[in-house]
Amino acid sequence: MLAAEAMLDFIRLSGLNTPEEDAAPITQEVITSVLRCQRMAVGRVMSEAGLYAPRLAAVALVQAEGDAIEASFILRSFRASVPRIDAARPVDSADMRVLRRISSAFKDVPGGQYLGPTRDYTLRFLREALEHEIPGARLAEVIAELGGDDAPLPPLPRVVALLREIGVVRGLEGPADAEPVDITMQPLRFPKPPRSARLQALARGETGMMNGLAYSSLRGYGHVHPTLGEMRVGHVPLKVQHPQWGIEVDIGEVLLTECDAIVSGVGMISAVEGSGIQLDLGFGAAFGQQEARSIAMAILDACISNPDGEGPADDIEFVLYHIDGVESSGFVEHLKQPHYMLFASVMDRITAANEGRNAKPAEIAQSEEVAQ
Amino acid sequence: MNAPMAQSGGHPYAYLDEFMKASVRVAVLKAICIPGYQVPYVSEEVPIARGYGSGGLQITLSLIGPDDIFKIIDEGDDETVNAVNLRRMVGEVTGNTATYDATRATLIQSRHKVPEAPLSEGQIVVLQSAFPDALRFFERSEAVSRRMHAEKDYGKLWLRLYESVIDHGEIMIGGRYPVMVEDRYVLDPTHVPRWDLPLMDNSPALFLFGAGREKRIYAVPPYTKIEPLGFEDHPFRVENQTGKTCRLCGSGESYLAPILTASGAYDWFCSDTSFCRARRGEHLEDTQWQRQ
Amino acid sequence: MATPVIRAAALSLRHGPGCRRCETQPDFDGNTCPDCGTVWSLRDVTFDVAPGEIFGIVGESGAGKSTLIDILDFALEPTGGAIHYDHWQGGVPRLHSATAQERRRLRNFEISVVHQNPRRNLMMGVSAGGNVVERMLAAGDRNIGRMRDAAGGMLDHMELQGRIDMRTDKLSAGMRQRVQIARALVNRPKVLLLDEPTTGLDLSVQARTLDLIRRVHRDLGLAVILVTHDWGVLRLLARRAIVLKSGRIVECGTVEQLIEDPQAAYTQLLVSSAL
Repeated sequence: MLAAEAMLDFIRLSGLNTPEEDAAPITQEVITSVLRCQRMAVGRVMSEAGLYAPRLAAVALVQAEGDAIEASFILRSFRASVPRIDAARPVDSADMRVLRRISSAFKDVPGGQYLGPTRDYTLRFLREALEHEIPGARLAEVIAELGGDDAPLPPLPRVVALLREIGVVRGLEGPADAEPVDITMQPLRFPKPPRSARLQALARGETGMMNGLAYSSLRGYGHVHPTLGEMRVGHVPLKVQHPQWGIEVDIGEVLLTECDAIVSGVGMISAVEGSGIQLDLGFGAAFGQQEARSIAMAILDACISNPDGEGPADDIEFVLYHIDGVESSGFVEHLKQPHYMLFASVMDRITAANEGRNAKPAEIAQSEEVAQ
Repeated sequence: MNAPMAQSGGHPYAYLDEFMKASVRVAVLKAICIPGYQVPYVSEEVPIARGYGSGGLQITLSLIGPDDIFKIIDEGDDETVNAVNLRRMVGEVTGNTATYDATRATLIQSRHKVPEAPLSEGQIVVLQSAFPDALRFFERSEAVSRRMHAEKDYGKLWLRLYESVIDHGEIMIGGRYPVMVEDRYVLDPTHVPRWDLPLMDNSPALFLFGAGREKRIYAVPPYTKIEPLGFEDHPFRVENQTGKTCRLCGSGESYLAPILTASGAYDWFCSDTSFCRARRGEHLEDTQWQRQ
Repeated sequence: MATPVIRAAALSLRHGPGCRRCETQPDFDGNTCPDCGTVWSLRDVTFDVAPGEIFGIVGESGAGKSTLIDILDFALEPTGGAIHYDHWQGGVPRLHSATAQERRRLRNFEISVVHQNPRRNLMMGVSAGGNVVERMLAAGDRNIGRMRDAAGGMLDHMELQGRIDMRTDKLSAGMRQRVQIARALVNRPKVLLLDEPTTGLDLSVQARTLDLIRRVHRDLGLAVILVTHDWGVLRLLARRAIVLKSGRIVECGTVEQLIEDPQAAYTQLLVSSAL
């Protein structure tokens, strides 16, 4: 087993030391390059681990040779080992330094739509020219193209807050300042865990599973096909209450993706009775710029909040039990462990059953002889 | 953005290889022969994402010829990111002329909108389709919904409409309103507003629908009857635009889209931006693209 | 009698390869051939149903009664013999030679079934009225007001006043059964198949449901094929009947004869233990 670890390191490190290169990058540079050039992988690992620590996520990715679930596992176990000092105040997305902000529900919204850095509309041609890219030169080009517009953005009120005011969207479930449940400190209880617990479980879900389940709902195997009220990506300040002076103090910022999905129904409009007919809402969020998983999370939030749905994505237990990547990959891979005692026991039962079967025809033949 | 887009070397005219074009054309012909029937086809990847109009693009690129003038709109607008991007792609792989004028385009690819300007014979409108099957939202199994279409068994769909009227007094379907084509197949007209459905009925133009992700092509040939489903006493209704006019051109006869203002109120604008500009006397420009 | 509306001729349904013994000289009890293991769910079942008569099929569970209903309902294909239906092509060809389209039309408008388990026919998440209206929609009706009036009237007839918009899964078992009956009758079929219509219902509800069936039969004059294991129900409703055992007809005759003067030992056994 120790040899296995040694073999992993061999594969990982011999890849770094190609004979043609004079100065091979050392591990620290590889970590930095992952942090800078693979921020999507970093964001995914942080979200699945439930820990905002970009550099550590990069270390985990290098340690795991790029295996994202493995990396999130490593980061999660790190999270479990660090002391919990305090909880931050709830983040107000109005404070976000917005990189990107779109709403699909309206052509334009108060504050405006900002496309920002996105791959959505790129044409997926493989850019082999990247092999010969000169970073400095390209960077200078890009800076020139983008110009230098530093004007601050206007205030960006949340679209959903406006829609709530005019009564199109349903109000919040429960009081706004209720203490959220932390599922790493209290286990999930069914049939219906509180919303904060559901959201936290979804927020740490494995990206692929979330995409797939959300897709299934969009195609009719669930009851949710939403319109995006808003999606924003940007940096939000984190604040805590100072332990001595009692005032709110800024301790840094995190890059966050947030998504509000308005549930307009699959085919038929599925409205709920409120004061008039209103639409439901789903919410999704992730560390880093993680748009697909945020949208998927919002869809799944809406799916499992409604007890009437009939698809796999609507089944709260199915979703919350199978959404965690560390649990799912762990158990799937655990099959590689020895199970020979179990298997011997299985073989014993099959042998016994077959012996019983083979006995039967002989008995029938005997009784026929007797009858004749 | 300025880097040339076709970096992988010389492509054939309209990017797709001949096998791909042929399979799309065969599917299109079949679809025209059986109005409203969803024809399965091999939908290979194109450089734009599934969900962004790959099916529509496959049809456009398979049908476009050197003499075609094309127009691309998204929610009625020629200038959304999606429309600009698709126009650039089509322009650079064909070298054809693009126009904003719906009356002069021979090929119009659109997401979620039928052009408001009156169409004529010889024009083709290609609609990007996400859900080819109108039955999908309550019958998830493809095998079962195919049988329902084959046997013209739309009882469950009608029942949904009935229940909607009983529950809410209205048929609560926004876009993707199911229509009956030539009294035979129920078709999903895509997310076009209900407003547009009368524009599709008995139109001189050919309507083609491409669902790339779901791998289906279907068609409404020229002068085909399109009947949105409804009851005698609760008929199909287009969106209620009483009292609303476009803030720019004053039109009350085109489909208006809302912009949310800070006070929570809506401002209304023509969703078909070129139609709106033409009404205001603007000249709708053409662009001659260069093949890369 | 007048031309029978339904004629079953040597109807058989078997699962298995068959062999000389079970095909030509069935001399075994039960429906499984000891030689080849073939199960004969039905064997050589022949009977006639006159227009407007209530015809009974009685036997214990496993006798093949529900199999017979499934065949008449096109849920199963017979492996031997044929059914002839007088109103389809003059009763000449086998009913099971009908195409999928024709079968749907026959099930929509001519031959309706009320299952023992209402879930087979009813959409539980849909209102009672919706379940009835769905049949009218299948018939091409497009006027909600008119359909609701007709469905409402039908449900009133079934003593389900005021339940037209109630979700079916919120109704009691007896009510669901009556919704099934309303749904089966709304398109005025010529033949009604009733599979254990009152089994599992409370006694008082049973009585009401039987009354309802009698009333409906009298008012609409349709032919009814009634499957039951309950001799009391049989005696109340049916005029003639066949007794099934292990897929075969053991005896046939008027219900009065079968009860007062059963000829076959098996019939005697059933009647004496039941009544």
